Amino acid sequence: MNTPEQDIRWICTVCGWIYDEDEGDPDSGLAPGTRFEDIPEDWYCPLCGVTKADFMPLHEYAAQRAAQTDAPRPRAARGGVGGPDAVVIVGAGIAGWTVAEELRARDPDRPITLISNDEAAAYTKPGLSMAIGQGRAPADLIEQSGPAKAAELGITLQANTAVISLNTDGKRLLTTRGPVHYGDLVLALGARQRFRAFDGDAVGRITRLNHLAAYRRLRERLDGDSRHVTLIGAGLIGVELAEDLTAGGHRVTVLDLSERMLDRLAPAPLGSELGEHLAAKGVDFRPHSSLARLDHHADGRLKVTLTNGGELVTDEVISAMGLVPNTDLARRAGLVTNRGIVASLETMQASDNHVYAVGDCAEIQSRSYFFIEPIRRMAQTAAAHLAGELLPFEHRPAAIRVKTPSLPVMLCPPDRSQADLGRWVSQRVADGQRADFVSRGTLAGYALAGKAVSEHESLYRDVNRRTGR
Amino acid sequence: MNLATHDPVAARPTAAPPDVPAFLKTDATPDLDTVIRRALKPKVIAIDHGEYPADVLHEIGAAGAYRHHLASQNPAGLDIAAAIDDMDRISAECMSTGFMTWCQDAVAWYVENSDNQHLKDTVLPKLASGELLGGTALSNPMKYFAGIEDILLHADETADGFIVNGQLPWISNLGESHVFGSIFRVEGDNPRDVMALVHTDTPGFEFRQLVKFCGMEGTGTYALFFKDVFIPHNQIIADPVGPFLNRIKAGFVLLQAGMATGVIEGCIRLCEDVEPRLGHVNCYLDDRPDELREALEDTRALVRELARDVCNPDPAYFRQVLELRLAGSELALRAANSAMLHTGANGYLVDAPAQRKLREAYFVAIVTPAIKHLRKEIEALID
Repeated sequence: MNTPEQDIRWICTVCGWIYDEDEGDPDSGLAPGTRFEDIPEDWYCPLCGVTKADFMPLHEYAAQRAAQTDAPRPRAARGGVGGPDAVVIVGAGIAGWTVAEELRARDPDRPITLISNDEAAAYTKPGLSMAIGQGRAPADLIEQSGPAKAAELGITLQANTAVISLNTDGKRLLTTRGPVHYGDLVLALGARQRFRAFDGDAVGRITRLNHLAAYRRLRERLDGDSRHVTLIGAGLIGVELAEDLTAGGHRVTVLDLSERMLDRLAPAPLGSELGEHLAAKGVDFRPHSSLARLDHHADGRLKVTLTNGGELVTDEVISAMGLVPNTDLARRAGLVTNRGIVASLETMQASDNHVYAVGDCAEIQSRSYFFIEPIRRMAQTAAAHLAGELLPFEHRPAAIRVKTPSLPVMLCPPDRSQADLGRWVSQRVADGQRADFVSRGTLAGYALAGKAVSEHESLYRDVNRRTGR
Repeated sequence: MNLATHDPVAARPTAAPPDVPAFLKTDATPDLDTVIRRALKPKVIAIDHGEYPADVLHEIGAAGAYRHHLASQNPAGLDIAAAIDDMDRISAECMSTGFMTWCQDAVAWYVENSDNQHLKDTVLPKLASGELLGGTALSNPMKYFAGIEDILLHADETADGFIVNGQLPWISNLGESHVFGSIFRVEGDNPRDVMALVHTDTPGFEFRQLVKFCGMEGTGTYALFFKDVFIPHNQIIADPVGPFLNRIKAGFVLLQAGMATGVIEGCIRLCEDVEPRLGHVNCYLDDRPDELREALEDTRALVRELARDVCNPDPAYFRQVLELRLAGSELALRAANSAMLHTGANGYLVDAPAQRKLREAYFVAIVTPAIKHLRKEIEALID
């Protein structure tokens, strides 16, 4: 130890017992604070019985021994978790598992460890907002268990383990099960529902649905009963859950600060029509409102107070206000983060060469993608680079199928570079509606509802060709 | 304060071992490291066996260790990281005392965050300085709120306060004229949970030592018995307690990190101490001191990061605090195991430092929130 205490500690060179002047040796009559030089000559080591002559200052002893020591023994490989040659993937969503699959396909030998803070079951998240209508229990959504998938891929799985710190200089992680070293690191941390600090004594009852575990808990409370559910937010997840919960026999109220549903993604007429279809199913939409406070009510129910002063009594409150990339780990490690973890288009590397960011948590040229298709391609780009190849990621228009069976909707919103430079042009077509987003005379996006969704494929090719970068 | 005054004229050479080492004699209030070396280190085994170190605890307070996290009492304002760092340094020598430091910090944290100006004016300065010592009886309520146990204290409301009945096992840092924070369930027309500051000399209140622990006996740990104990309104910390707990819980748990990092530090030092003599064979062991030190420094860095954000109400933040606490427990167990293996037979002696660290590490892992409790809470917070 390199502190001034070196001078007050003496080691018995025979047995290793250490005399600490602060502590003395009370059993032998040496009070705390007795300097070694003041110890009587007839004193002896309390452990092995030798006299003062066999003691020396600890730091001198250490220096002497260090000079005699052979080269250090190489570290034993301990277990199979991580290691200096390993690719360590953090996160077991579609991004994390796809990197594992794509890397294993390209490199059969590279040690891969996947660390997940949940059970690491393989499932696709969009299934969470369709399961009730499809009559599927949460367990039915699992395509493969984590251990089975890990065994199939020949990778090490560390499940139910949170990664809490990243040290890029030391190429190591700290987890709730101890430190893990990596050769290369893939951050597939996902995104979470935006948090807002509402008032009230029941705010802890707000559900944020981003993991199967949270969904399972919700279903345990809902199934077999008819409940009232309040959804905060009428975006994609809000409208899909509203329809699915209604299909399950639950009553649903949807709150949104906007005038209509899907306001940030779709043109006004489409949002209005979707609203009418959901209203016909019994969905109670409250525009220009959000949650102000949430309090406990009688019989385990909850009292919602709205921003516009209204009140309602409900059983469950689900937050669907929008996704925020999980960047805390990267930001604390000093990686460049913006809204997401900034990653390279060519390789998906973050601002450290041995760290990759993939999926919802990543940001490529100021763009985040919260959809399966681009996430798979990000995973391929990262896996290719880890295997010594180059497969740059391509920005493509997002094609979003909104899972609202009462009104089929396909959305292809304009890229952010064009969103402010054009406008929606809506038209009614047979049994549906179509809106084109026109920017400088070019088709830059579209929205389809009803039977018009059949036009999706040809329109998508068109937009992709015109806006391909 | 019990320091001998240094007087160069009267100073005389002495052949007998001095009570206080000359190099530690000073007029000034000693800093924490000096208190640890002069007052705490010589006492650690006695504390382990049952001596409650009231003098040491008062001196630790005088050195400023109990006020860093109290914005109203600390000249530098709110500094959770400094409070944890002090607890870390204390725990490296003696985690019993580090734990009592946490108890003291916790009860002061409750008062600091309450709306009770009477307690803030009368009790808080004394808790911050260490003049008044106290503890926290929140183990049972925390487990009650986590659905692990039933609540053990019940109260009836009166016009001017509450009448509390029930018993609590194992509350620490108590003695005559101590205080502690306590939560009870109020029955009647308006059922709710209420938190109050209780004085140990209140009529109807009794504390008894019923059991003997395998270490840490000197932590002033007792079973508490409430028989019609009257709690006046001016002792109430929070009513109802729910929103208050949400406000204080991250700080409450985060502060405990100093116990874990201190024990880990102590274990690493034991491994390092034997390195010159045994390094040639200890290199066959896992969890070598340099590896443990890397993990410890990562833990401490995360403590400092999370400490800057202790009022963050996002459940995702609280989950990170729980994860840090869990990692601290797991790492303390590994470090203590490593200290035992590195020190070998010398560490297997009764009262050997490695023995003490082993028992201390298990305490870190078992004290509320225990590892199992943390895993349950963390799982529930995965959304």
